[in-house]
Amino acid sequence: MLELKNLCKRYGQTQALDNVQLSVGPGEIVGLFGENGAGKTTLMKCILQLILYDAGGITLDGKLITRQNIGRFSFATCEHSFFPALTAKAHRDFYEEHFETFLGRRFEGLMDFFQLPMDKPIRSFSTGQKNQFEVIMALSQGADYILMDEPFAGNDIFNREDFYKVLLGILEPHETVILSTHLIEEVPGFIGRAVLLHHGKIVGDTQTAELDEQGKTLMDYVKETYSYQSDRVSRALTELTGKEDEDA
Amino acid sequence: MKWTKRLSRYTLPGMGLKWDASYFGLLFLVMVLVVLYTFLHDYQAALRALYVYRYGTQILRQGAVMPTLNTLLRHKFTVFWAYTAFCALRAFANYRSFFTETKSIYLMKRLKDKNELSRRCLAIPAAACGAALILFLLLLWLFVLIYRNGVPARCMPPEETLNIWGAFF
Repeated sequence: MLELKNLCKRYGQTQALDNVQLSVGPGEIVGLFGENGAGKTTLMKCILQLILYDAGGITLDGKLITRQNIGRFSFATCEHSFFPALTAKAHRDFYEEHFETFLGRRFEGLMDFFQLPMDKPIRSFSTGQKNQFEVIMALSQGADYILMDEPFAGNDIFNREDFYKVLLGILEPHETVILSTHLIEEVPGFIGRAVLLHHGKIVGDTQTAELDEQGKTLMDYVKETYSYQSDRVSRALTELTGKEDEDA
Repeated sequence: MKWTKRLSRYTLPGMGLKWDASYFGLLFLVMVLVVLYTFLHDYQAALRALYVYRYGTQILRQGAVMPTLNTLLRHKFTVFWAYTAFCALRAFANYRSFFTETKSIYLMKRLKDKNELSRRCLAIPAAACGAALILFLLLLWLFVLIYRNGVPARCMPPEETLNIWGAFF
């Protein structure tokens, strides 16, 4: 169980995380949503100990996150964390050396499925291929908690669809995914829980099954939680053009 | 093949030994040439000053004394500090490389072995510094041999302890 208690992080005057309380259990697939600057990336980086947080605590099965258990997390980020000069094959060797849990068969299978070359430096890949490779490494590390921060930015819709399907097909019951994305409409079938962040605070946390029961879509829930004003655009246009919007 | 794979654990991922070898090899060569040139230039000049030329032959001057080896060596190895600075810069550039193009630093920080990052950044520059130090000791030994065998016995100055530090500062 991953537990975040009263997590606070400040960047100068900006409160990036404000008393965040979150528990994520084994096997959950959590979607993390929020506007730009809501604190999604900061939250993930705090979990991975990539940045220091100011207050609160993060534990994994009751233990602080250290070098001893950090290998239970993997991370796929839109910033990419692979070595650009290294080939896929050499990445496999590197991961095998450093992560005892590395899933060689999964790696080979995914590389094959996405038809990525094994012997070319990753820097020579297209943006979409780089994203695919980033996610493949995160999935193949053999981590219990797979954190993904906007991993598909730059991939086409078919590619993303493929990924969601493959992900659902290959994940073991104990593997947990925390996926941060803006592509709310694409993930309802993939995630089991949605966590909404706003100005560093958790403003919504629900199971997608509950939404289904209530007859709501994830997008409805997000708009409702953020008090989204649907007439905002028409009002703005009216103000800008001085004309009444005909559709409004 | 095996040893190159082993050594590649001390280099930046994907860069291999070739790059480091050519970078430090070139610096090494420049440094050796600078040290050799500056010492041999001064040594030759001092040796020439021991002689006078009469009718096309060189004759040892009366009472001529060779400058001491310490005098000839003074400041000759200061280039070592420039080399050390290059090594330090290289180590810093190695670290920065984990932030360029991608953020592979995120991966390095998730490794169980906390020494992996420092090993990849520091090992080769530190080894290059160590090799330079050994090279300087060898050069020093060479210069002592040249001095002892090249200076006429009559012109030898009173013996004094070899001041190695004087060569470096």
